[in-house]
Amino acid sequence: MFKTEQKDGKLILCFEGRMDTAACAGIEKEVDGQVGKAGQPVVFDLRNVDFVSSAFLRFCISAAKKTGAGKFQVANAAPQIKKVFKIAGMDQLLSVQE
Amino acid sequence: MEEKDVLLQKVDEYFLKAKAASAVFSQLDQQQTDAIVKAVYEAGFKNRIRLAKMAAEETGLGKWEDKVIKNAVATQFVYEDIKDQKTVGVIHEDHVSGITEIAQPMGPILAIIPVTNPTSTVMFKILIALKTRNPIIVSPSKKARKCSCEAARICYEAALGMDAPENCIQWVEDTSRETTQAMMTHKSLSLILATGGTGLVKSAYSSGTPTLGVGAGNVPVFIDKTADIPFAVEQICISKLFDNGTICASEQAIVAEKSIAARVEEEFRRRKACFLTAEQVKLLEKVVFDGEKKLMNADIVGQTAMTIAKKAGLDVPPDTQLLIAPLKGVGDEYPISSEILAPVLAYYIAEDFEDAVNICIDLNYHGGIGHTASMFSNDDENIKQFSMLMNAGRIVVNTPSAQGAVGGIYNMLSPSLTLGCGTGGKNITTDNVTAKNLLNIQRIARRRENQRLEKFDKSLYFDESLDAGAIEKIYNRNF
Repeated sequence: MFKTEQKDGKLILCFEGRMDTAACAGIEKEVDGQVGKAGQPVVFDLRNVDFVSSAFLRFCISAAKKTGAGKFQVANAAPQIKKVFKIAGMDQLLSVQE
Repeated sequence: MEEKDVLLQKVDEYFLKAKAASAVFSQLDQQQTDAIVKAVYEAGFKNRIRLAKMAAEETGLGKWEDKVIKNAVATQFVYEDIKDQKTVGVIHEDHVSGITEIAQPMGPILAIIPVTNPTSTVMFKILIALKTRNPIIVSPSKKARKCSCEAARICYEAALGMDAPENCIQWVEDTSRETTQAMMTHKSLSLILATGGTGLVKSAYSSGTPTLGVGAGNVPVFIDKTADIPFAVEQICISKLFDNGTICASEQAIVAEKSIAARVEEEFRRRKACFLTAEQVKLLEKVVFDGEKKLMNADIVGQTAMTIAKKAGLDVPPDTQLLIAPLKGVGDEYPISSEILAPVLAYYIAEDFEDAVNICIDLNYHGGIGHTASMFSNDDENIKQFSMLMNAGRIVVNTPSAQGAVGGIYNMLSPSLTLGCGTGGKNITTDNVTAKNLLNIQRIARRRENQRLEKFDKSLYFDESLDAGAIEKIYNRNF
């Protein structure tokens, strides 16, 4: 459901497919653990994600809090996913890159 | 932190959650949306009796049996009406005009719920909000907090069971004026669905947030000489006695032509209505109307005729169902000519058709502009004439007005518990508010050039000798 990689001193979490409630429940602990011990900027790469649930939005909020101001990014979101972050008002908290 | 800051922080939390719900909702397709709506309808319908009993017990208003019907209308009838509507994505395409309509959700909706319909209005507003992928925050009346919140909770559980976005339905336990005000003016709120008293609706409209509100009613019912009188009287009783008269579209005053008045009175008496004497009317006025506020007295709303008669010290037959006050005029000097949401009716005898319509106009303009008017007649010309002279969003014909205005039972109006009253009632619509009112419709306008303008010599606009008629003739020339 997700892979991790190191790039330019950042921890990248690449998610894939539908991030619905069930999918998020299955990876919650692992994502939480990875972000919690990162000690470096974290990026959620959403290149291959086509749906985000409320649970996934919570992952993002939690990751932003854990990493600290300016050290969390959501990257490569498709337009329909970018709009989700806009509607949620989370584009102010997160840096959404296309 | 000061008390006010705590309150504002709480309100912010509601909207953070609502916005996240809105965002997730935006990704759902029609099929997923419809599955959620169906589950919520079924859960609401299943709980119709328990919620009706809760509402009657908590508010002390109306009859639980009638509240069951209201809950059934708010779920089954509303669902039947909206279930096949397209509310997601492309909803209409016209290849000739090149216009494509796309339905977009509005965003977080605040639902203000009245004490008179505290569970049915919750379920109705939730269904139309979910059908249009809008998250909804239910703000109950403080006198019906428990039952309204329970109705919302039941709907939410059912919605979550179909993978609806978290927090797509929220409810506010704190019903203080300050919280409601902070909610209504919040920057993240998209729309207020305001059903309630005039003060609350006005406050919603004044908040700066787009609002679909309602107005007060004062429904005249005109029985003309062509009407089937026993039928008309029976229908009026069905309506006015429903939930002890709590529906704002229920009849408030009967206007009968002189030639049929005796038969009308006889039919009402047969149905246990009591025509009051002038002295009794005076006694009743003091109990049902608050002269200072110039409003019906809240204590008598939804009470039975006998409870009210006892309060007023009226000596009426013990099985009286309806109190009828014969009046000579309309206005502040005749308090019962105002809206009274209880089994109390004003009664007027008119000389003829014109006189009757004049009385109805007075009643309509005495606190009920834009709401509903009712007529019993078998003459379509009379019906049209009457309708054109009323300022009412709905003119219901040969129908119990309360149930008729709500729609779906006696006519093909959209079933709704929020009846728009047009600009006369300070509302933006006269519609029976439903799902279609909760969408932002986007239009793709493809290039389709205006052929007449292409052929038209635009320099003619600069020729001052040509008037509108001359230009129109050239513009519309048949080449």
